[in-house]
Amino acid sequence: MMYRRSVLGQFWITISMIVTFAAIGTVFGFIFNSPVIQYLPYLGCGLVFFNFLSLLLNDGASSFIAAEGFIRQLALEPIVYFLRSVWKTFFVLLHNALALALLFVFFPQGFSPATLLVIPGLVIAAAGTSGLALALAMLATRYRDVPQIVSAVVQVCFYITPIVWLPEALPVSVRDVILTWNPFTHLIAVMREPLLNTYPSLHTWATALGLAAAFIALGAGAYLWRRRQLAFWV
Amino acid sequence: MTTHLHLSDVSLDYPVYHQSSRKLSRELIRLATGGQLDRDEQRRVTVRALSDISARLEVGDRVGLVGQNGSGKSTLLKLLAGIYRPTSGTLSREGVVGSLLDISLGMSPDATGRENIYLRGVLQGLSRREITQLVPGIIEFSGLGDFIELPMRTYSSGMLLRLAFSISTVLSPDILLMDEWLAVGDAAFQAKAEERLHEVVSRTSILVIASHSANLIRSQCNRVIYLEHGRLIADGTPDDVLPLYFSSAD
Repeated sequence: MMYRRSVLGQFWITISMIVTFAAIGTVFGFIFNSPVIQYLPYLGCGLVFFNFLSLLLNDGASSFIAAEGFIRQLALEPIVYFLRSVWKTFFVLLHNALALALLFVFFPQGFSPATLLVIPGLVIAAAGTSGLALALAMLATRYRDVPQIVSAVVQVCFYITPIVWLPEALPVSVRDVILTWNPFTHLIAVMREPLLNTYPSLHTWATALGLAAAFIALGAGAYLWRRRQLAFWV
Repeated sequence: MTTHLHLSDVSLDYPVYHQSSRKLSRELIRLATGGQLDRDEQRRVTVRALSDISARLEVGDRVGLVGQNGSGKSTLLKLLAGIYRPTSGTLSREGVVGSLLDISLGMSPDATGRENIYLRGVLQGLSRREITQLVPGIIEFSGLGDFIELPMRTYSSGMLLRLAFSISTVLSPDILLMDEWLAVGDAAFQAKAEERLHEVVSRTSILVIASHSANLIRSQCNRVIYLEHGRLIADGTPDDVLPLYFSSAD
């Protein structure tokens, strides 16, 4: 609906992602002095997947607030408004995946069984992040400062997650702290590494799975605990 | 189970989140100051919107809700619709509830009239196929003709309401909730709408309508519930209860 009356419609999502690839790819490719054929696919996957997770969190956190009118007037189970946001985010991912596919045509990474692991990776990362987003959505409906906090924190995470930069560029001591304690690192790794034709390590899988389980428990718990209050909070 | 709405000792507290109690920083300050500084903020303000309401609505009841503004009529309707849950007491509800509380909710100005029929229909709990069957009838009744293919932002407010009304009144719920009688459109449409509304009302087993009009209640209702400050003051036939309310209003 948002793209009614625009000529290219929702493909603006795809186009702006391609432009971002080109811009960041050129500048940082030179800075890191890394071959384009390796750097661009790494960057592309990172950007697309980070964009996906960040939209899940940002849009998800405001989903009940945005559905205020509905929640006050309809006796629907409020989670449908959250799922609507998740669904919308998934469609944005599909449009960005198109940009990624185009990138892979020019910089092929090869195809192996490892590539297929992107599917479980995507499921784990999406489900886990949605769980966290649901918990944040409950909190955000009660405390209206939360959406701003979420957006600021996610913004910071973009810089401390290896998306634009390569982990090797950091000194080992710093690298360990940042990579270990940043959930985005693991959730993005399980989606990105398969597409770059490598197997994510067992440690990466375990961490991503653990995070996802914890986030889902948190989101489900918060929702079941306080869903009756939502009509008063909005 | 037959259709019914049974309330026993239902109370509803409405928490009020004014600007400062909504802010997370307040809570953090409270934590940091050990609750000393912000003692007033700690007491959450609540409004008792409904207080110990007991009533048994059965098949055939045509209930008019009367009371001054802020007496809890709308809150009671929302409670009956299942939007709010009672803070204490129990509400037992059997039957499909339909409401004509906000008939244009969920309609999008950028979508065409036809698309909006689907958007509204889904919110009313209809499946896609059911809506498709109803579409010709809805368009016919709304009298919008070819305008139905145009985005709704091009409609006049009267046209918009005619469409919303035409969609909302296709349903036939067991329990119908209304906030005042709906009157939409120009003179010709109003007559048609009146007839349609009477049909919907006659199909439902239980009607609950909040209204300030004695004439409306006398013509539509066989039972009147009179609320004041969230308390049930009287519950009985229109002849018994209406004089009570209108004498207090003088």
